[in-house]
Amino acid sequence: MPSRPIERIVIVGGGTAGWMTAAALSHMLSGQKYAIHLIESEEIGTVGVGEATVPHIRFFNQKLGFDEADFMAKTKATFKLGIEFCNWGRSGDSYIHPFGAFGESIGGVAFHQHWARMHRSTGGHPIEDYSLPVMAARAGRFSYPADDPDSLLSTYSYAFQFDAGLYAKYLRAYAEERGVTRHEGKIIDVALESESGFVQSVKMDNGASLSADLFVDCSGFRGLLIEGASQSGYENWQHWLPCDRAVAVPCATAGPLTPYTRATAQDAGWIWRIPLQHRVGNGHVYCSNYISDDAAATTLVDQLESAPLAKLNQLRFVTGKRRTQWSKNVVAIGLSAGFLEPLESTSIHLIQLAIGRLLEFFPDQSWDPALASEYNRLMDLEYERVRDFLILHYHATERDDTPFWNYVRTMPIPDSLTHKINMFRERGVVVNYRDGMFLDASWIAVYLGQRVIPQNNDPLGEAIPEAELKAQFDRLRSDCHLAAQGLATHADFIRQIGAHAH
Amino acid sequence: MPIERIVIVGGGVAAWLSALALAAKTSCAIVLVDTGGIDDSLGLPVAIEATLPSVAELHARLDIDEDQLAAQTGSSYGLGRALSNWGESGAVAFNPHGEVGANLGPVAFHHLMARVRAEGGTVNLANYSVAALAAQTGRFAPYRGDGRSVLSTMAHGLHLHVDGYRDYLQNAAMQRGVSVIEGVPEEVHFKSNDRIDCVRLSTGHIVEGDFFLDCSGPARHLASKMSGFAFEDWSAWLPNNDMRVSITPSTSPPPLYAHIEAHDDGWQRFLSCQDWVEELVFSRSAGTGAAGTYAFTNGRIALPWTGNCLAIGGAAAVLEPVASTQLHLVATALSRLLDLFPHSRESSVEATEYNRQTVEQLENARDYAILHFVRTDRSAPPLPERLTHRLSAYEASGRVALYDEETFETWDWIALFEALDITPRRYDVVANGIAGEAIAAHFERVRAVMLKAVSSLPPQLSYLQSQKAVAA
Repeated sequence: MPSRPIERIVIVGGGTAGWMTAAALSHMLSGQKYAIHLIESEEIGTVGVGEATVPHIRFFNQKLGFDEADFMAKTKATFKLGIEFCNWGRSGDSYIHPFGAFGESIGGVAFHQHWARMHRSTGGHPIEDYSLPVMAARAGRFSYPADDPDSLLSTYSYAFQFDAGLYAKYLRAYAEERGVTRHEGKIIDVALESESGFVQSVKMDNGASLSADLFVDCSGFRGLLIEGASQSGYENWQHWLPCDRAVAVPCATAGPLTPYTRATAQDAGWIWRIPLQHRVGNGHVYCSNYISDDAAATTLVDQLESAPLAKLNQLRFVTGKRRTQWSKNVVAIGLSAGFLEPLESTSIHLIQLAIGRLLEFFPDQSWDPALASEYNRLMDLEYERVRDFLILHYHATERDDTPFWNYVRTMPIPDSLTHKINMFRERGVVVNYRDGMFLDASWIAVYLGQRVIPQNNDPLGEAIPEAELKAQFDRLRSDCHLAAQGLATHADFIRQIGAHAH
Repeated sequence: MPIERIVIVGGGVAAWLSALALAAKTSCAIVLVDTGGIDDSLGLPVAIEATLPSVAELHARLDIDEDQLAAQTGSSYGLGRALSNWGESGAVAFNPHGEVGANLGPVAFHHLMARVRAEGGTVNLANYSVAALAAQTGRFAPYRGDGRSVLSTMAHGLHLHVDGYRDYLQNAAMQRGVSVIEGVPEEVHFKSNDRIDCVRLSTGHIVEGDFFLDCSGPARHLASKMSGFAFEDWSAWLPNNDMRVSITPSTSPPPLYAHIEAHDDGWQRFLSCQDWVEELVFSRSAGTGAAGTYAFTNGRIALPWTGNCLAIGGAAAVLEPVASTQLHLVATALSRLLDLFPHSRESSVEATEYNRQTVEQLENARDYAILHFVRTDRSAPPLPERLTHRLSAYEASGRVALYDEETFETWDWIALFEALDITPRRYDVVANGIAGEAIAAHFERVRAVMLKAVSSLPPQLSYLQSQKAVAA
């Protein structure tokens, strides 16, 4: 039945994307006759901004058989319960987008609908009071979620913050053990088959050439093969996501270890703060139309909690997506496939998703175009839906204090997003869909966190008397608070499970 | 101003289910205008309706116990469909409700099936489905455990005795205060553009309301009066336009499945409930309106919800029941309406979202229906673009391309592809890393576990009797 299998795979580029791909392919295709090669150059730095992850990464690690404590110790990882967003809806605001839902539906009507009703009628408490992971994050506490679905302690999930460079190293050792061959060098030329336009081989600066059936382009922004050779084209999203530069620098941790990432809005962008075991990763993502590189760097350094531990690292990017992420025999994974700023820690998830899909639609020598077509359809949807979610963070704001915020607040947004925001604002309905990593709870967190509050009641919810709701709300709020206080401190928990770096 | 008065037009199953749902979940006053005549409120007037498992969700939301419902209405249970003559081989295939087989490590069962076949083996998916095995042996009881038993992979629908079901719904709705008035709308009066004020009936009565549901089937007494009304005709892909019904008393236990058979000119369905067997014949030849036949056109209206008028069931879309979608489309429409119930009489955002979801759902369900005929009907025009993509993606990868608002999930599509003798050219590459013997052992184990579980089930009739005893 199957036509001739492919035999050789060349991954162009190391870094998180390259080594995640190499590790996953070497594991999932083990025992089969695939030769997997990876080319990387020590001279080319990796971007490594994607140090914060989403819970899906745990499935990737589990599939590969990683021991969680060992992985955490070797990548100096911390636990992550969500992201705190400061100054987004208004200056002075703070909300946490947690890995978990707020409350439970009551009488068949979603919790947030009841919350909005109480909020309109009596004010009441912020929605975060009804989320255990937010309460735990605010208290700097963490423990593993419970298995018992009836327990409040099962109402959250978690991810990690880790050193992406160390993660790549960890994956490299794993992949090399499973037969992946690493080549040190820079690619100086790409040979195409004249008729088909398929990539035949890549030439390295040491003179050697590597040919392959399938090329995975993990070369980062440049898209060495997907753009350089295959000229896939790039869909530019800068009119919706105008930030185009970043400056990054680590510093030492001051204060207790927090189990969450922070994104603090600035005059022309935002600053990330990612706590690791041994340091804090910081970076300022900004729009060069509204602030100079020097001013952006100063803004970052001024807000560091301690002295910088390294030189500032400057990055440039264009938000958007490659028109076809799989073109002929080249599949782009990672930043070569598209760039979405790390506001919601999506980079590593999109890599993981692409690897899974590549395996699902793994080609053979017949290069059936239907494979790439379905792969591209699914990846496009994923990128577009992440894009809309990111745009929401900028657009749903009341800030009018700088030209940058005036632009994003008033810019035209995709119709699909306009409809979503209207549905929530008018009626509290979250428009949802099958493919797309952010589920209802995430949209609710950001809507409410950025002051998009439903203006009207869900008529079905009005059947429940307010006093009854209030009693249930009060109980849940107190339970969340108590449960959070009962968890270990983040640092203690890491030590308890033996996940601290030695 | 909130909606306080709802008018439902149509006296069939769709109308009474709508009445019950709205009476149970809203505080509105509800008037049902019973238009009489045959019950084509679902689209096609059948005597026994095969439901998909998903209908249970609305029943649960309305506190309807399906076991009691079956016992009291003369209905029985359904575990899938037997299909004959739909593929090139002419073989009989079974499309079960629920899951098939079990993954082996990271590899999905259908990819294992393809691998076994690539090595010369034969696999019939019905041998690895609890629903199919139970249906073959006539055994059934719903599974209510914690999900650890293999029985949890079985899903079931109902073979609803429509008259009994309608009476049941009517009873429940009237108990909740729904009032009925007989008559057929003759004039529709508007307050403003697409805002119906009242309906004047053939009896001279005037019925006023804030919100109107058109459940009058293809007559579309209200929907056809709305501005921009348009009917999108699906006949090019689904050309059948004539249904012949015959119903006879049955003496044997009802099979747990519908049997659908493809003909050169249409198709035929046999379906049983407790005391009846129904035979439906669909064709495109007659359309003469001869006695005992019903003429129809497959298709949908452009916008099911316009202004303050929502069309549900056959009024919104007619889709011949080759895939048993009629009640599913009504039940999900009602769930959607409850989720999106307008917060005020003037509001329109809910309609926008309702229409988006509904149109998406209708087109996906339509494509599933069209797929049935791709092997038997060679004169058909090019398939809808999305269906073409689904076919080519499946043939190329063994993966099912799914979209938002699907009625049918991965196994439903695969089982139908199988019945049509459409098989993928390749399978999950990871399956090659598993030894052939390990796969063979896995298949044996899965089948043995399933057979054992099925043998623990009672004959369906015993279960129905026990439920009748509870009801009495």
